[in-house]
Amino acid sequence: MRLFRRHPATLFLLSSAVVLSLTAGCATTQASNSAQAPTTPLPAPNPALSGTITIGAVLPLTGANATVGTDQKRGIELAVAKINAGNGVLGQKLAVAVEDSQGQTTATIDAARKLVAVSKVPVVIGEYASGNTIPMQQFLQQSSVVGINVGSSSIELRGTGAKQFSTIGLDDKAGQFSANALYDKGFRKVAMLAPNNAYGSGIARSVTDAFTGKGGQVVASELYTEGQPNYRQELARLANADPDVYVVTTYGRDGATINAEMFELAMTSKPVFDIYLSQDVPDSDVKAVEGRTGMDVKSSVGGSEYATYYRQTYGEGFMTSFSGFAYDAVFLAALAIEKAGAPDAGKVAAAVPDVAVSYQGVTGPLAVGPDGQRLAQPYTLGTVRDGRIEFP
Amino acid sequence: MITQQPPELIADALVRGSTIALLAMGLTLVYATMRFANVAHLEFATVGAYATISLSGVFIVPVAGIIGAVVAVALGAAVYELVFRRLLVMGEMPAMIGSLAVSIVVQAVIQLAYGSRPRNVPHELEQVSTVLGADMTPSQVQLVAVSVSALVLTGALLRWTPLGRKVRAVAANAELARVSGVGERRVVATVWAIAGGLAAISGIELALESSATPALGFNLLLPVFSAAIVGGLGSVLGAVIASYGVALLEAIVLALDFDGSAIPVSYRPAIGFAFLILALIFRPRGLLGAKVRIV
Amino acid sequence: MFDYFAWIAILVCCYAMIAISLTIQSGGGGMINLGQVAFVGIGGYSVAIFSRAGLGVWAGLLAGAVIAAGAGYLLGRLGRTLGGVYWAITTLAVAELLRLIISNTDTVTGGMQGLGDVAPLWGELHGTANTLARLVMALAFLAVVVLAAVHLDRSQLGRWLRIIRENEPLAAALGIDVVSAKSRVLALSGAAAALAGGFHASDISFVGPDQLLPFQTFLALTMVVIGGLGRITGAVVGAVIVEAIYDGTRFFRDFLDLASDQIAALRILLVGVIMLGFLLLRPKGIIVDHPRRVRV
Repeated sequence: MRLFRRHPATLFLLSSAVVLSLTAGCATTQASNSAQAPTTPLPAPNPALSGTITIGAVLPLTGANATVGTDQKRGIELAVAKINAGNGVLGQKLAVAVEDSQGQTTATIDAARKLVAVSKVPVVIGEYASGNTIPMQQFLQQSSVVGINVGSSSIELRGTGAKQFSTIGLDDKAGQFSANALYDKGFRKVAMLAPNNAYGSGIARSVTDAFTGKGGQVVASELYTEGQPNYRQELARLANADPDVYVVTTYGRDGATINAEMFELAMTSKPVFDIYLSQDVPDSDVKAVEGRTGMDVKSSVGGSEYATYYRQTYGEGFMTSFSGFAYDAVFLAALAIEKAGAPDAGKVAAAVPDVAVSYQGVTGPLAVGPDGQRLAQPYTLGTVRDGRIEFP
Repeated sequence: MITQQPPELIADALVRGSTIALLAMGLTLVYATMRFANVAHLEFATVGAYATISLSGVFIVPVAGIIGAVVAVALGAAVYELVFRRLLVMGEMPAMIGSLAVSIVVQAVIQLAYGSRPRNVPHELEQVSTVLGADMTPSQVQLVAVSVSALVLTGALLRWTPLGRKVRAVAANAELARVSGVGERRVVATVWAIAGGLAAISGIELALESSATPALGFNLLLPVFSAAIVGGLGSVLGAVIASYGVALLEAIVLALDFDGSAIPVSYRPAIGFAFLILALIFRPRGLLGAKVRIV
Repeated sequence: MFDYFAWIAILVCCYAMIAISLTIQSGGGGMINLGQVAFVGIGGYSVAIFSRAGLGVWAGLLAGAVIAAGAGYLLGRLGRTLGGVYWAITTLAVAELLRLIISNTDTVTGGMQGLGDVAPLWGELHGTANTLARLVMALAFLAVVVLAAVHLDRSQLGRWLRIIRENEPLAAALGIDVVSAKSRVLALSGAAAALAGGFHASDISFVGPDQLLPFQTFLALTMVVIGGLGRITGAVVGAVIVEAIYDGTRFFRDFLDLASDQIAALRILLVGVIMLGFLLLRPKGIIVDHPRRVRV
């Protein structure tokens, strides 16, 4: 205060300390970003293509689900590069205009409006949270634009409209698969943990329904609020219920925190089953997740061509399970536009079911049913060894 | 029926209560001496945490922590000088709104510099050990130890040192203190530094125990203000008691089991809010508050 | 393109209504309500629930306004003589409590998923006609709120509120029922905010707990600060300015090469800096003050 006026040197010193530590923070961000395996650049576009066809995407690039959104964007980038290195779409280059939904519904619809009104796209890919995707698809349907869902799994998506599709299997499928796997392993009492959002509550519900349907028991089910510094209370409740197995689905920093705390609280002495392993394990401490089992979408299997392509481009394994769905969505849109002969939403929508039948996506067969939803979603089981997921 | 043993409840309350108490104590001290409800007080914690995380790459953690706290206090002093002093002249409410704006700005700058993904000081995984009947990790034990020491030290300072007497004099009656020759400016500066330091320690310990996000401090806004208000704005002891009290209440309520179902953990903040609202309806002065609103 | 600008204009109308609802409280009664978004939420959820139950959007709007007005009145009564920081924190706590309850009640409010498929107000029309109709509707709603606020300003209640803001003990000494006055302005404020929330819910066909975060109130507060506490025209101007900046920065991505994370932070930073700037430099707001005419 007055100190500063008499001793400007102090003010100067202190402000430099502040600035230094902030820049140290930036430097660390940069450093941690570039400290990765070497990467190869994306394939160059085919010079024979001229002109551009643009479609849109609304992804949660910021906010609670930023990790998933970033991964979805990666899937899109990979697909676009591959398409443009080949024959493009109708002889033109494909471009995807990506907008940030910030994880908020109003911003999602805002972004969709901008894409539809300003960029005039025939197709919009996105989002991730069911709470955002459903209203966006309803808006797209009203605006006569095709929508492709790549991350949400709420069964309400079945009713968003005739021009709305999904490349990701809805909740019921993941839940059924997981419940079967758990039951077959001999577990009868399950304690569940999932994030308190559209995704988490949907998965929790479908696993619970499927597992109890088979005769098992869900002794505890907790939905955690995202972004908290710790989750000991929730984990204590699960532990108190004395289950045979913990069923967990998390991602991002919350996942790392939860996994670390499960280890610290000695909960890992019981089996832990993960839903969507590849979105939960990468961020976590190796010791905490050793020996964990779980399920995942087939696109995340190690040796596949897509996985190699991803790893070469970004220098790391899959960040989440969701890049493959976005990748497939871009291809689906491109093939549909090609078949339709023009980037016209009505014709594209009619073409999608046809091309979906013949297109073998990186996430499996993409054939869609009459409600525009994916019919078959292949999953697989995996185990974590030494920080890496091993699939059979 | 309560599903957890008393030692576990107390351990929970100690960990959560310590974080809140450090912040509430500083907040109420500032209010007492400057009549300033500083919403940006929580940002001391956030800045301290991030500074420590950055510096931990260069220094060992305890040193990084100390420097981090100093950085936070320095920033606080600068913001006071540039912004708050002017707003306080306009009145209590413009100052409060201004502090809200500062809070938003600080969070945005931190997100700009560090991104919104959580950061932490890389450390080995710990294992719980049983401390007095409850499972606690070493980080938690450290948090409680450091916090309680800081609280006790500050309390002792306020009670038994000449400086502390001056602080209490200004808190009781600023004009009289000024007229009596108590250096109000110096007192204000000291209080600001102490409050900022306590808050920074709270944030640093919290970040060490879990992780830091740009909203680290802001997420504690309501619990901290609730504790300060329930304890009586301006009463340091009240703030500390209320902090631990609310934390204990939270632990108990969350441990209640109604025939198999329990209150969702997400409702934890609601317990504090309900407490605050009820307290304000029935006892607006707070536990140990002095200022009574007439009319 | 018209579609997009109309959408922004409708958003501005909604925010302007919320800003006005906030400014009549602060300018009028000297109260800073950090939980205003709760009233907005009541309006939004009422419309969504009524619409999904088949009772219609208009009924929902009415119900929302009535419930919010009631809640506001009750808040005023319970709050009695709470002022300043107590009032700010209490209102924030009430709003957060509401958001928590809504987020965790899956049945009625849809929990974290929110409620979708809310009927639009002019569902029969399509395309540009629909957009135009919605825009006209939004302007009409805004006009109603403005008129109500102006009427309040000129009424006896308005005079009382100004005295309360300047010197509350004096107001009490003059025999003004302070609590009643505060409660009444809160009721009006609640109704106005609920109308905005309900209209918005119908406009985007969705309502969710995300729309009840404290930052929404802060955004409205910034608009009020820009416009000047208690100034109605100021609130509208503030809404235009803040929305322009907040949405204009969406186009930043086309010029700046920053991570999306950082663009989001930049927008919030701008809002905070503007609030701070106006507080420090133009505390009375952007519109030049005219002395009031006193009718003798």
